[in-house]
Amino acid sequence: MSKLKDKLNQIYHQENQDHGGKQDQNPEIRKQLNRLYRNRENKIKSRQNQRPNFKKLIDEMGGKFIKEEEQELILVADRFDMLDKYGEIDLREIYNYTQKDYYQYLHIQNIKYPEQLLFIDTETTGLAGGTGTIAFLVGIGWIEKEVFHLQQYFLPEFKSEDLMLKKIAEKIENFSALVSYNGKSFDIPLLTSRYLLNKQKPILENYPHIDLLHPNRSLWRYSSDNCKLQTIEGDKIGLYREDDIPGELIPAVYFNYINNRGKLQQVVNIFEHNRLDIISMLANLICLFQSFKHSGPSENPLEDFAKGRHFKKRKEIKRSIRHYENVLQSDITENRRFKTLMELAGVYKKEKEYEKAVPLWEKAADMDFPAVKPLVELAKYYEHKVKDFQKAIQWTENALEIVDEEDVTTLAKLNKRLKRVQRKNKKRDK
Amino acid sequence: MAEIEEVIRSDPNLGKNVQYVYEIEGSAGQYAPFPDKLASKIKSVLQEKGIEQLYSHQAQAWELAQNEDNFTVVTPTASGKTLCYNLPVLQKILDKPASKAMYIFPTKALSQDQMNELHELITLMEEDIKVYTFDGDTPTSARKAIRKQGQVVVTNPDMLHQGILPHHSKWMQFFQNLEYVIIDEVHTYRGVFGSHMTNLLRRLKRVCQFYRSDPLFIFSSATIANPKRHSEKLLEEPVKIIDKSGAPVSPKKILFYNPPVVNKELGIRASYINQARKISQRLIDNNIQTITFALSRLNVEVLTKYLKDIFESDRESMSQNEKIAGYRGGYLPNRRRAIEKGLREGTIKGVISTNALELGIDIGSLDAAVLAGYPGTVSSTWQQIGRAGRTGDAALGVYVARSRPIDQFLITNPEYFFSSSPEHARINPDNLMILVDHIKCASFELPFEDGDSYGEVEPKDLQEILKFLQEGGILHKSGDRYYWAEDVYPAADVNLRRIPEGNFVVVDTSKDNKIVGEVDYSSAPMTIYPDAIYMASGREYIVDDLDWDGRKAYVRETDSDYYTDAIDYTNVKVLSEDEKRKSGNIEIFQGEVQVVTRVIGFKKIKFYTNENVGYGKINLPDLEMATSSYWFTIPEYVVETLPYQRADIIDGLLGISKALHSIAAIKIMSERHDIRRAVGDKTSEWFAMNKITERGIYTPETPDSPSKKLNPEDLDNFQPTIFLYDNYPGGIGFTPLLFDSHEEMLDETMKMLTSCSCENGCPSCVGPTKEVGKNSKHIGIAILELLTSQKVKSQERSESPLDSQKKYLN
Repeated sequence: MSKLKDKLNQIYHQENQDHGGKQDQNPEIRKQLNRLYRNRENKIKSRQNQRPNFKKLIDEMGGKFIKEEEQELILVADRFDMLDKYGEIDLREIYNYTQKDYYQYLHIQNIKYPEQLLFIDTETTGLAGGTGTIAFLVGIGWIEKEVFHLQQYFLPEFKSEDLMLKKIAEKIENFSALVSYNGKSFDIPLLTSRYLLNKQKPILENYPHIDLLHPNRSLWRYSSDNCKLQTIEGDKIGLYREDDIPGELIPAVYFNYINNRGKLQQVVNIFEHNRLDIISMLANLICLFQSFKHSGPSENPLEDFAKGRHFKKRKEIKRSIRHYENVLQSDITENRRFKTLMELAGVYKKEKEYEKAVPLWEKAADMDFPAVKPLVELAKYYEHKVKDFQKAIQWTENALEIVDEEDVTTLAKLNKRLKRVQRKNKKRDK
Repeated sequence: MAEIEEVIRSDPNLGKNVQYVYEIEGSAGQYAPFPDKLASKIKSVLQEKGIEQLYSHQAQAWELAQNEDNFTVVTPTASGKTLCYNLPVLQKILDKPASKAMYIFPTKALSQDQMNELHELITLMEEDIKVYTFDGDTPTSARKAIRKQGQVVVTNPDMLHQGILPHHSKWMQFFQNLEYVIIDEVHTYRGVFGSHMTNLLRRLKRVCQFYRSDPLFIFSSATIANPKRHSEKLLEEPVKIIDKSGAPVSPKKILFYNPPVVNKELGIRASYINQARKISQRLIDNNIQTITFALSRLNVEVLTKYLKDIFESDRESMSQNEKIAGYRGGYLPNRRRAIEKGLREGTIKGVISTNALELGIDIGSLDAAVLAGYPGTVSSTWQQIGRAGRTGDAALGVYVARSRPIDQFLITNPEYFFSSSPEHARINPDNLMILVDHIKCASFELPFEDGDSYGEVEPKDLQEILKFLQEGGILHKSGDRYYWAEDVYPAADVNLRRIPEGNFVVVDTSKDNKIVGEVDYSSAPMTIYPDAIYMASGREYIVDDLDWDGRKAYVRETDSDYYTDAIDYTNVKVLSEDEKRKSGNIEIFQGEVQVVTRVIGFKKIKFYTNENVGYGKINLPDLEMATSSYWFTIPEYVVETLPYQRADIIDGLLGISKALHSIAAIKIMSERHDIRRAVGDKTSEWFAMNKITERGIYTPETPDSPSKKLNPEDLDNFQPTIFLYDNYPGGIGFTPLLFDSHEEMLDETMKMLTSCSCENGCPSCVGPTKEVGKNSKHIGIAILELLTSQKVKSQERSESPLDSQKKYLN
């Protein structure tokens, strides 16, 4: 045993300081090391030098080895017949959408056919990122003649990462854009790091990219509990996963597996999780188009509300008004009605269509809902547009009656407005 | 203005406590012309700022930078050291705009100030050089731009450790073009922090190597005894030293002020805080702009309140500008800027600060600096005094001593401040716990390969550690590389300022589990055992439960009339003698020791009366650590020449060890308890305990028998030994220095004992007589005399200001 190991043992509170022969094999020391680390970090695993039996995994998944020089990967190829329904979605519907739709709704150019899209999703050794985090499974999917093809590249050994990245780069070159879920902040920067660290060209950086998370948020942030892919699956695709592996367990399962300790089934579950994520992205894309293209009332008025805001931001005023009106015609809470009135009035105000904005503000002011904002809008309108100072004073005074006294900024602003309008009014009287 | 010191000296109450006056003569600066190669743009900006030539050390720095030599600038406060690195950096960026520089400051406040200064230069140059701060406060939205565009990135070690290196691939351009790394105030990187710092630099250099860059390192340091050795230990590369400042020195007088003794028997002195307040008040009253340094935030607030009450409470001043201000970390930036401005413009007459104002923040020149207590290191003392008279006028420094041994030692031995620096910055980057943690972080950043090296760690040791981590499943070997194999982010668990042991948090269950305190690992068994009274912020809590593995103590507030005092013992056992040498009559050693600290029980002691009102048992794991130590044994034949009982000899040694501990702390620029001491048997048959109630020698507890008290006279073999050991598992690098300085330290310990004004021992020297016995001081001196073979001469004693009449010997 080396002197250093002695020291390690001493420092980590080894009681046994036997300086005899082959301590490397000494189970007592091993036990103590393990105990020490368990106490310190609750993390330690026992030593496993043997490789797991990858053959079993390959058999289970129907995959194959890809070998080049010293490196080897496991490739699992699969296909999903688009004639089959996925949840409640007919995947062939993707063919209905045109270059214009891609551009108008997803702001991506040059997509004429869905065959140009490459769906991509990674499973990684950590969720926090950083240069020590590696994508050990990269799944990709693409459409070809009513079949959705899937390939999953799995790293049996870290040293094969270089080969995996090369294979993926070769594949990507055939496609015009990537489709991911939260890939802009997670998968793509992580893979880009991996390319750089392996001294390869970071092909994914700045590649045209549709990150579904963002349009999902635009449409469903109010109507769904959250915008996770699996929530969208339940709410929009009509798919409910069984025995899905929770994302936060994935790194540990992988490490256990390569340390020859894990259960094969858990690794199989990761493949399945990744496979579903990729097909769901296609279904998700279809749902997005459906919703974007649908201007009539949605099942859930909160989706209309979100679309009102979305199209307002995109400066598609007619669409925005349409959706806000859908909201107002549906059965919604007072709170939401109030917000919608204010939003819609805001759109009209921006378009300088005051005759349409004023009745909305008045409606909002009329609600059993003491709110200062519509009163202020009305006061502004009468002061600046109509120059009916009496009415402006009236609305300001109404606002002052209900303003929260602790909201000193608003209070101060209102008082300032009142003084100013009163001054203007006096001036005119003279 | 000529004699500010007279303001204090002539005051009947204050003047008599001035024990010593030191005068620094002013000197003119030494200058050098602007270097030929310095860009004219930079020259003209300097000229705009009124700088027509460089100080000699700035020119020297320029030369070294051009020769691509790493170097450390060791110059006093306000000597223009920032130009030493800003000039080469700016020149490089003008020559090659793709170049990058990284500035590392130990604290955020300092980095802010330095950035402002660099910004000013760049603005005047009308160049678009991008200087950004990248720290914990940098918004996420700004980070990307900083990584891509920043030419100078200002950060701190913690951010480099947790925020930059683990994401180096995002900083690729930056690392590929990194030309300069500037590390300011390297003397602060000592002990644990410094040992981490070397490892951080090892990681930084590894990442640079990956991107094929080889930056030049420029350090700055306050004056310490070993700047070259320390810099080279940090960087593990040759480093040149610039230690001759060309800046002019302003004349200055430094008063050594010792608060008067108010209780002779117990050696208690008047409160140094009140004394410092009186001195500051007197100075400000005479319209002398004064900075008062206090040792804690609380003291800053207390002094500020006192002085504000005096100077700002009358009606007149209500309408005037603020005259007195406090300054410390935790104040909002705007408030700080306002105070700095008030100081520069002279509207603020008195500022009370923590050491926050000790380092390079620009507050202009003040007339006087009052130090309420020794700031912990000689170099800090100089930096603080340097705040007075920065620009040439005669200025005043006043050092007000506390009653602690170090303060008292220094006030009676002022030459300590004025001869060459006694302070050594020591580190041990290969402390295994620190090393293992950084090897984990480094593995996350870039996998190690077989045959790789890591700093000056032996390659085979590195392999051993990698294997150890691999066996633990923390790394995974694939091919010839060791990959990070955990889903956690290792840097998040490594605190650069601590050894990784895990502190305990104290949770108040009666107040919604509010956290009321934190206790470090090694103090936990002595302070938060079940049934202990835990005291924090003036409140008392009783400990209900201690979750050792979870590192939590559950307490509730209580109103108790007693406190608890743990009965613990420390037994030190020698594991290996790595080095020994003869010194006088004895041999001294350094090596590895096993330190076992066990808490066996506690006493309940009534407040005020100190009556013993109960006893409880404590059942906690022993604290065990292997660490490095320096020790020496008093041979029996030496002991026997003294006319004392063995029990008395033990008392004497306990006293010596306490004083020696204080002296050693000066040498190593110690933070709180970086080193500890123990007195025991050389073969660890017994150890000495000196609790108020439990003085004597005891056997260590074994599974078969509890600890029992021994009569030293019964021992066949009496080999009392003093140990001073690094208080960190694995050692942190202090021991070799203590081993080398043994003789010097014994001399100084002797001085400490002989120059202390107490009769029989006090907290300022050997400790209170209740703890070490009535004769500890006298016996201690007798033992030291034997060890150093030096009689204390009577005239030497009378040189010490306070003791002319006392006789300690025969």
